[in-house]
Amino acid sequence: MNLEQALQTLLPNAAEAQVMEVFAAPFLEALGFGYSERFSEFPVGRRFKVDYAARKNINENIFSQSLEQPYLYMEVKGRAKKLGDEHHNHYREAAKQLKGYLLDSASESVKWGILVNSLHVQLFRKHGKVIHPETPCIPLDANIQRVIRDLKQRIESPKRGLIVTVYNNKGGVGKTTTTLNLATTLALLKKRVLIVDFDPNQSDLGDSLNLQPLQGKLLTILKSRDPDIREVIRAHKLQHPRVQKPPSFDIILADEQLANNLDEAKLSQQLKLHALRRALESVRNDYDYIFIDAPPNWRLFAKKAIFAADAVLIPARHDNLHSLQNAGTAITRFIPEIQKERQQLGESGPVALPIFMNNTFKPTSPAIQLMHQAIDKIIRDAKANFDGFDLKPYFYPKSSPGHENHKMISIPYMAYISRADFMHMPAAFAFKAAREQYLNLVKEYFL
Amino acid sequence: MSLSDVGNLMCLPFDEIEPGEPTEAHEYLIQSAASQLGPEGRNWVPLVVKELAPDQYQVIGNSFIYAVAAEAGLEEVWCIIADDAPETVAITQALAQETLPRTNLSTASREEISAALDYLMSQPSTPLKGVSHASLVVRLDAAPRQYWKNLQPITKLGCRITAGKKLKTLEQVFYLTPEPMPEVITDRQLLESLSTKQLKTMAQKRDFKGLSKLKKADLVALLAAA
Repeated sequence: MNLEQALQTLLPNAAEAQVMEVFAAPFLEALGFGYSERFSEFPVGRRFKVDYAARKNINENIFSQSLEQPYLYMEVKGRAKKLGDEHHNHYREAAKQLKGYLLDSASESVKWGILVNSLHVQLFRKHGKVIHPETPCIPLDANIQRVIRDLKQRIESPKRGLIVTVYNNKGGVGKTTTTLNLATTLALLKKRVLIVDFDPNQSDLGDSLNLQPLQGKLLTILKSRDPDIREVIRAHKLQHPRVQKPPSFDIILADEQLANNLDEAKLSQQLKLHALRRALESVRNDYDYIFIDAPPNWRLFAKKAIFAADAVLIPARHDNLHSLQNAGTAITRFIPEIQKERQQLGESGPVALPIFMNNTFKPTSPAIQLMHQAIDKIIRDAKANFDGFDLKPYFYPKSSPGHENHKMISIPYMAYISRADFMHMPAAFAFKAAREQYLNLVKEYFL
Repeated sequence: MSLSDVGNLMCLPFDEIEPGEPTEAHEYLIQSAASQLGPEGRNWVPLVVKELAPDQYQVIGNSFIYAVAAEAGLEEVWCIIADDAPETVAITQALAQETLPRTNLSTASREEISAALDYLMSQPSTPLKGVSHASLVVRLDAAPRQYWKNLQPITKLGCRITAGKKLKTLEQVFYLTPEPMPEVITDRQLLESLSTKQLKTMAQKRDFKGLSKLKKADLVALLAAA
């Protein structure tokens, strides 16, 4: 039975079992996974079973026999489950379930997750520990062949890099420090990293490495329809007399021309919202991670930086109420705003990563107790004002129903980190104690 | 012994029940719960008991309830009858939070190590003050712990863990199931954890010459290179 026949056979309210029986196999077949390249009820670790797993056969290694190194998971739902509406509980639960499978330690080789109920389909990409939607929820109607072609092309040519924007519209929460240290830590782990200083008003990032900003080159590239961003990428080696093989990352410095010459209204006429994303797309396969250091506001540059991202990392500080509130605002308002823009282009994302607390104190200190009260209020307000939006998983990622866990992802206050700034060197490179903190952070978020 | 009662909720006379592991709960908690319960009350959270002989039972879980029932002077206590397998006792005590769960450090993931250490460090009277959680997690995760025969090598990680109270605390949550050491070792970190004497024997076995003048660092470099 081919896919069109399968869709005609299914009743309008077909249950999961029927979708599984009639639709799932021809759908995977159409995506290029043959009979011996897929397996239903695939065991994920010891606890779960995902509806389908698939992988192309490699020489003698037949997937349906060896069941090793799955490449794609597919979670099938009944037609009654409303997957078309991203705010519906059905969708949220199904997406959560699929994410749970993808994040299991047994799923390390998996790169893609598909959520499908034969009416809608959505593709998720997995990059290390980060899972983000690759496409919006696409309806499967008359254009099914086009959808299949698009999905197939994405699945067959996975992109290497993950684009992460570090953003908080409050200044002084450590965006630049975080960007620099994350990049350094990943470079020390032999990952290829590019950082983009996209804050022309401050150009702190270049400054903290003692590098001069660009003069107009980036502006030209962002304006161009066929950009070659490689022209402005320069390698930066972290030198130290006792380190023999210095780790290095690539960097795009801020462009002074973007800050000085033009007023913003004029600039926004020249630069499209997707300018940065388009420019970075061309080098995405050269890197494992691309970090964008975004400016602290919600204007032109910040919007472009968020638009360019797959995932947004939001640092905040426990002693700065506004940074906490703004983190909430970014998740409830700004990021969804950009998600809408992206959806119009047939893309999806970016997703917000859990908020991370910079320069924290011990959990028992009074300042932290005060912070928890403030966060509780922010969570309550978001629920009331944004149609039940639940910020809790972003502040307290380890909490679950029936288990209050107020552990946050954090970097403690360390004198090393600010001292390293004066040395024009990332703390994660200069000091072991700082490196170990950032290593934990990197493992928590990315690896 | 009849097995038919296993799994049932039963109201048993208090004097037929023997205490098991006594609870360590504070007397304040026991007394106030007992006065709330009263001699005629019903314990809605049941005791978990196993059958020793007909009409004779022993507590295997929720021993706090036993202490409260004794204090309140209950004549009958609601109990769940469990079987007498050792696994049943273990899981019951884990579910009632009466034992400290232990983690296999030989095979544990970074997350498991991190959670176990975080638990220890969050205890009010922890001897692990001044130990950096982040550093200890990173170094333990990277260490060749699958070969460790005891926790002693932790003292060499440079994380301010000394043999004594601090190591004892770690022993509360970690245990090991060591793998045998491989014949040929080239992992630098593992080599560094061995003594100079052990390194020399190993180098001799692999037919290296002129070892007598070499220092530990040289031996490590030699063995790691091969």
